[in-house]
Amino acid sequence: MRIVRYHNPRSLVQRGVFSTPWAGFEDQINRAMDAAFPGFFTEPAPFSGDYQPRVDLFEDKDNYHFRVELPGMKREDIHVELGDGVLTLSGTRTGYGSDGKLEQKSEFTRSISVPNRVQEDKIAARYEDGVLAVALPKAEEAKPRKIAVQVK
Amino acid sequence: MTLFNQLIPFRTLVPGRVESGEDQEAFLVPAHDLKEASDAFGLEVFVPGVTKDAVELNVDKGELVITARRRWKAPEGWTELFRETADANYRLRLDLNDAVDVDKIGAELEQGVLRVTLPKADAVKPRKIDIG
Repeated sequence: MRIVRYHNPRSLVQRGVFSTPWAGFEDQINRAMDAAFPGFFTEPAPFSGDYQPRVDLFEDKDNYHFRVELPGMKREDIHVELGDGVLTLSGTRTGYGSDGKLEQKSEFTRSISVPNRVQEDKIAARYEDGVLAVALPKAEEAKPRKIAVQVK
Repeated sequence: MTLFNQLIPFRTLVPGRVESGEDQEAFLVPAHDLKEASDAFGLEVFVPGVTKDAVELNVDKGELVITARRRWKAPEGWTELFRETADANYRLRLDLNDAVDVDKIGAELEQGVLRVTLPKADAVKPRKIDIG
């Protein structure tokens, strides 16, 4: 195997700061492991193209709650849509280069099915501390109900 | 990496890996980005769900340690249907290697992104040398 200094533009390591004799070798190993087990050893940096925000889904008696990890976004750049029982999150993030001049826009989209019917006009979403919390009130017929059965 | 140099850098800096802290608490290494300008380094650490009071930045023996704790807990009555996040807190360690002027480190936290400015120590700033 040849040891080559290869600068992966997506890597988290600063270009040009690399200069130990092991640098090229470590990079080779990183990339070989990444190719063999994609997404296992390294988490893609947010909005680097492969990014899918992490989602948690909870339910309580009356609502479904989605919590999505979306650090560093502006409220107006996040879009939440519900259609056909599928919740779609999308957004754009503008990043600045180290000199403050270069702008990179990255986008993400993620769709998740909602388990049951919800009251579409009462959905509420809040974005705080980098976490988007969406509360979807369950539709009346989806709430657990006791049905009294008369036995004759 | 000469400046941020550890014995096996990719194992400790890889985000998502868990390392044990004191008291056997497991920490998650957060995703982070490091950029360099001529007079400072800029470190962006992605820590969603963390408020300003829950972040600790310490420099100890030339190593920068950032610990960020998430305080949110699911309220009573909530059932988990699907989880992709971990409940662990974040910890990032970076070896500064005398490259940074420790007294002038500044940080700000906005919407789950911690931006740390690490001004370079005079010894490593680019310098013009005149030929006499």
